[in-house]
Amino acid sequence: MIVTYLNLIIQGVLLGGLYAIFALGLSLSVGVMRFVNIAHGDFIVLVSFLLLTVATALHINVLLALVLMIPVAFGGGWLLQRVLLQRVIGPNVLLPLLVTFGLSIIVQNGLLQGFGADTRTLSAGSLDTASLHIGGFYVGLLPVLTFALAVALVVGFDWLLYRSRIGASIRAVADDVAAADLIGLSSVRVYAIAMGIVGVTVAIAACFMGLRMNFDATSGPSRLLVAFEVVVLGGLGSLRGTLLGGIILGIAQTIGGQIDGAWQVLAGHLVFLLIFLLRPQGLLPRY
Amino acid sequence: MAVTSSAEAPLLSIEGLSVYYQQFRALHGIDIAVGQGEIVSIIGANGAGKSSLLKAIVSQVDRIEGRIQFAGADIANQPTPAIVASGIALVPEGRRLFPSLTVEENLEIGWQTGRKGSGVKLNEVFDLFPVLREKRRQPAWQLSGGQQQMVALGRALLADPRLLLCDEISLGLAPTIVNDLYTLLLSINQRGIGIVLVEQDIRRSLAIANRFYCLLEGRISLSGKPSDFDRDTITRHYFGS
Repeated sequence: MIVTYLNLIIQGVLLGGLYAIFALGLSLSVGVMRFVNIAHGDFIVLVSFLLLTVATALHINVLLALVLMIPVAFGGGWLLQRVLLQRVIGPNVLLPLLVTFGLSIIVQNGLLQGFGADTRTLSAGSLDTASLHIGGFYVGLLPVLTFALAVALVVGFDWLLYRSRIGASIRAVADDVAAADLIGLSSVRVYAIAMGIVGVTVAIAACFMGLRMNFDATSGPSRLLVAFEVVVLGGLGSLRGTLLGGIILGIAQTIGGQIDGAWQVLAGHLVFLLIFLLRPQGLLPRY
Repeated sequence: MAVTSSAEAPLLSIEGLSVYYQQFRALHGIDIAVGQGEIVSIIGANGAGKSSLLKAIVSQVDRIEGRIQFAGADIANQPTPAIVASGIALVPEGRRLFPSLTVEENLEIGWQTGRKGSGVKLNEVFDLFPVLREKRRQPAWQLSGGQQQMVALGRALLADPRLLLCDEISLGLAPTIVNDLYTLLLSINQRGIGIVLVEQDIRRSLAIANRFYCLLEGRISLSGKPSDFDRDTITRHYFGS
């Protein structure tokens, strides 16, 4: 019994790593740039399809395709901010909400048109099924790598945001856009770079989501929901909180799924609601 | 101190500048010149257009008419980052630090926006304001008003400006701290940095200025050397009575 639950908790923690990766980009845009990207989940699914296409067309491993995709994703985020989102961010919080909601619909229908409604998955060759035997437990190598990557990304982005020069400019613009512009720190440029960074996290999330679970053209909103819950659980603007939120949601879903398959997603939502009621500011709030 | 002469073009030259905020006109075709390394004081009552003038120089107003030349180049309607990078730094009214950034991060933002030359270094700013060296890792919101003003001034200095625009730097500060800041402005000026000083406190800013302009309802009502006019004349043009 205890062994079973210990095993479930380990699986849950590992799943939480993936959820934290989903949420990283959203955590950056909500917590730092102060706008909610409704299309976050759809962007992840879009890049999953792109990775699938690139890996198939070039006959390369999807992890190599991810390496190729990262600069493209940075450019995509940069361009999206520069061309579209920059025009709507500002005192009216409804505008970016509506525009990204529209983007979400465009992406979903575009994917349906381009790739059909079939369910897909990504494959990284033998890594898909490789497993490790640690202390009496069998764990998949891919989930372990995903979790390690989640920790590395949280530490890396925390450093980028709170220790690096570009991170200081991003926080400065988040603090006071008008003051930044007044002293010659271009908020337009800084926001574009920040959205480029969000794009990189989206590409990474897209790859590891596709390796771990099925996706189709309309999977985006459910990914967004997970990312949202993780960000709110962890506390706005806190990347460490995002990792913790992911882990809690992962454990809740895994244990819920053990009780009854139908309870997997529901258990996650219930735990989210419970913690949200007790601690609305999140577990490790930055603000 | 270099005063503008016909042989040498002024560092900053403004001709026929009008500033508009939507339908409202804040400045009406004013001419202003600032020589190399000169201290020029802009005085005037509330709403006279002093801050609008500074914001127009760094291209942060809705719309302008007229010419603004800096170091021989036309900077009117250039983007603010380009203007700052060419050597004009603003100490904004109300300091406008980034509260969640540390003192050091706030100062480094100044360097990032500036000329990135071999001008003022972080350590020199800490030498000018020793208290900031102790507090370099603290977030800016924890500092007192005077210390925040030091950071705002230090941030502008790190941009390595040839021209420093100071908007009401003494506002809300204790007189002794204001004295210190003004002493500092003189030492900054001795490095050859031109200073435009916007103040409501006439006495203090005229005491260190080479020349001054008095604004009244968006127009220049009086200009010249502070020593050329008595207190009454200046006060009359200040209030327009």
